[in-house]
Amino acid sequence: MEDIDKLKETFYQEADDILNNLDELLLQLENNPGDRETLDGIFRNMHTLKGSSGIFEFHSVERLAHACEDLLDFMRKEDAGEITSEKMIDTLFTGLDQMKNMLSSIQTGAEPSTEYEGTVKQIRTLLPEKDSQVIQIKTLRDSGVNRIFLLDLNMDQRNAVIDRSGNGNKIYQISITLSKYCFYKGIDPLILLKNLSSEGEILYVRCPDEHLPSLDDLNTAMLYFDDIWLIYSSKVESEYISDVCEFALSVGDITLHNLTETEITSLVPMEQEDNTAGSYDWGMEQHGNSDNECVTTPESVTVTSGLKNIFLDFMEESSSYLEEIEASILCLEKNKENLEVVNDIFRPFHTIKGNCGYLGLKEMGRLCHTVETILDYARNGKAPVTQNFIDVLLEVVDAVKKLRSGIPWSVRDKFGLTDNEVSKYPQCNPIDITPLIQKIEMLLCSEAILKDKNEVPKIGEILLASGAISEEQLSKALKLQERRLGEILVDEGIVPEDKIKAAIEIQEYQKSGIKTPSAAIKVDTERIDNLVNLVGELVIAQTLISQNPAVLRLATQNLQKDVSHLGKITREIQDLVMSIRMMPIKQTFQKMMRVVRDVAKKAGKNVDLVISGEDTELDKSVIEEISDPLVHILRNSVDHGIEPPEERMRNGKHDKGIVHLDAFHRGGSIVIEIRDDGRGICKAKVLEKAIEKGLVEAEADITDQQIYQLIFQPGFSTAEKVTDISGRGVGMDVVRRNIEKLRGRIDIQSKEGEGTSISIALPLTLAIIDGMVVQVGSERYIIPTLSIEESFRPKKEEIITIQKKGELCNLRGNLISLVRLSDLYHGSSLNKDPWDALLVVVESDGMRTCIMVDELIGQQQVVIKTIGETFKNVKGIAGGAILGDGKVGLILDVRGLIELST
Amino acid sequence: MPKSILAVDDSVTMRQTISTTLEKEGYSVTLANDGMDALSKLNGNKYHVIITDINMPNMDGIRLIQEVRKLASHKFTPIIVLTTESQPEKKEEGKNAGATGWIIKPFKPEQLIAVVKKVCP
Repeated sequence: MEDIDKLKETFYQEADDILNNLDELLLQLENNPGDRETLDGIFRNMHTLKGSSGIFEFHSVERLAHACEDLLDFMRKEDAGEITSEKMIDTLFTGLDQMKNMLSSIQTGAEPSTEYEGTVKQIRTLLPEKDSQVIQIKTLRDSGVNRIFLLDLNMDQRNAVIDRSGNGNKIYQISITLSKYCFYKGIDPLILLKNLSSEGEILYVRCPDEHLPSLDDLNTAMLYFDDIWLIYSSKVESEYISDVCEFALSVGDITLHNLTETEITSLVPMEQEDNTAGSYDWGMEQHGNSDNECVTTPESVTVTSGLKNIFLDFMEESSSYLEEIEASILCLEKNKENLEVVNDIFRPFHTIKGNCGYLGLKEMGRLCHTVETILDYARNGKAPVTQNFIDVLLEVVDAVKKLRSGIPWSVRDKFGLTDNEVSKYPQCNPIDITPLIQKIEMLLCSEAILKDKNEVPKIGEILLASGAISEEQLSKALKLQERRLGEILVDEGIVPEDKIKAAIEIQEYQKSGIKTPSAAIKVDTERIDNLVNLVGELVIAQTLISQNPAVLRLATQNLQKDVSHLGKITREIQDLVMSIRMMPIKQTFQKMMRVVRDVAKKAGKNVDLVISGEDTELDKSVIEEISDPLVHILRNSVDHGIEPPEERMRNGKHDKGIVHLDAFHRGGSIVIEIRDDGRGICKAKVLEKAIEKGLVEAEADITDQQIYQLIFQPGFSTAEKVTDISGRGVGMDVVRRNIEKLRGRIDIQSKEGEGTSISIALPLTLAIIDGMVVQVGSERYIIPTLSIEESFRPKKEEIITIQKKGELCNLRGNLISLVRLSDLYHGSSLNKDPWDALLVVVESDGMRTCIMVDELIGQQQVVIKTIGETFKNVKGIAGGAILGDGKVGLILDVRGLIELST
Repeated sequence: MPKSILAVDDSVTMRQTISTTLEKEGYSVTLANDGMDALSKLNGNKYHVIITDINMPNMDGIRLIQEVRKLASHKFTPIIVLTTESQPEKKEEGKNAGATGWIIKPFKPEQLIAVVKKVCP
């Protein structure tokens, strides 16, 4: 008691000081309402007063101080100078006086007056309506029983559980998943365990060490046991455990389940059941049946942008993980013996699970955890990889995808996601994962039996136990077994030593490639776009300087050198910046594996997708856009291109169809090629259909390429749909439109009976175009190099004028229409007659036209600028670009021009 | 060897309450007035637990936590933050800076002891 009195004495003194201090500070604030420092000082003093008076349970003072603090906090947040009204300061002064009075009455042992209530009310009126912020202490959530984990318990442990529960203890199943950086927050799982064991008994700990690196790579500041499971027996209530774990919840997830009577009964070892059933008094009556008890968790309502970013990162990351998983599953399906692949599936699932725990995505976490367990068995060879197994895995992937897209409201609120951010992910109705989890558990139960059977001691262990060999002999023998393949091959004289060395070098090189993941940072795409734009401007500015007549006139050698150096650096920066947006197309290609598998299965066909060139890099936005067209084309290839197995056999082909998906560089563009060995396109049927629909005239002379292009006609596909014309054409017009939006082009090559090849040529990037600058009168235009075929000066007799068709040029027997840009866009032209000018032949979709120009200025990369809403309907113009001298050149849209000319 | 604790608070009442409470439990308590003071006391010493207020002159608790987490000697030391319930965002800020746990003011002596034992049994 002495202590308390002494402390109170200190408090009275301090409170007195504080109140005097506050008086002075408030006066200062009144004279200078905008002074932040004074305001902070007042707040701090008030805060201290509040805290201290709370300790001694002077509730009246505390309440008033609290109200004052709220008011000060409000003044601090808003722009203090503007909103600090006389009334606020007055109220604060009243509050101070009242506090002084209250404290002196407390000191003399009198009851403090209650007039402060009026002040508190007054302050309330000054404050804006506040959202009631309720902070709830997190309680551990109940994850339900994890039967799979319980399978781990051996006979002794099971007996211990039953024994403890019989003695009136509660049996808890606890899972602890902490961030590997938890030590940096002063959290140590070991301390949790210590705390728990002080009030009970930890009967079993499962703590997989699979993440533990070798001693050299060990970082003592990191937690490698990120998935700890406990069986804990104690008399304490679950609140105690929640309390112990309270702080750790900020760096991870901890779940708790109080095992019910039936769950404990299920642990009874088989052979004992008969003897003991009925004779056990479980001793559970006194704490009731907790079967239906479900601890719901009100998560604390805190919104931080940091968490939000983590969440958004997770959404991105998990999608790539899922694709990785999918690809691995399909790989496993082909080679079910390859347990390495199981590991590849396990790892990403584990990562997703860990993140789910952290982000509070409970359902997803639960599902990942369950699937992880079965994968764990499989990778250790304790469960066979069956077709059923594969199917369930794929089902899980789909379920996780659905869970990913249906972001629950609770999570939205927790991370403060806006509608805009949520709309990025497709919404879907919540799904129930329980049946799936049961399915996995079923699978596991049948395979858990196998686990016991398979646990056969190794031969060395048996020999050792029987005393046939000594431990030393055993390790010597094992060492012999460890000899490297290379050494054996050399000793046997099969391969010369230098060949082995070379092979090892290659292996080392490849290992080093795998081992060092490139250090990466995440950057907002918007910022990169800005950078790309600015670099574009930089290039232009640089050209402006280097071509400025004033600079050219100066012509001192030093200046020239410097200017060209600047030019070189600028171009290097440009190349570099462009490469930032580049991404390997791998992910998209991997997604296609699944598409092909599903379509093939549905169509009853046997198809292999062979992928190559998946490391080819493309602009990120191109990659995003190319996925849908690829799906479409591949679906067509499998559904209509590849024949059913019987038909293939009849035609002397292998019953398994092969579709190649390939990406590579050609010229300045990227080509994606889809090649199948199916039945090919039947030209005659396409033509017949086209004539029937009036797309071409019956006797028109038409090239193969033009026939194939008919497939892309909008009306064409829908009418024919799946049947007859070897199917191609379903929605192909959409495919072409998408590709052309990316300024790419699509070509078809096909041979009846042998297969079809569709190639998509795409520009490396969307921001820059490789173009030919041409002069027409005073204007300059840019023609995309990709569509230029040739340029030439025609002879007079090659130019013909035909009624209703205008001017045509006879190019080696083909009549091509001629476009005068000067007429089209009302400009001027230096040359009146085509034979004095130059003609540039451009091509799109197999159709050609000649553009008449005065002069070819040169090939150049230009940064594309849109020409704005006003001119977007002008046909034949794709955009504008700022040229070297600062003037604007128009970029021609070749397709539009061709449409105009015919 | 008793466990040593560093308590940081600008209020003398609070400092005395903390030290009286914990010393009775057999801890050795060092006191500091603010973040700056605390940092100078951390220099060359090793504490098992650090308890700090948030609102302090010179250097506030958040900054202090950030600085402590940079020290090799106290990188993993549990840090308990004293907060008031009116400042949930401060609590969050403290957590992000590297705080281990928190005590909500006003607190009872038993609560303080329980929390310290929780992080340093």
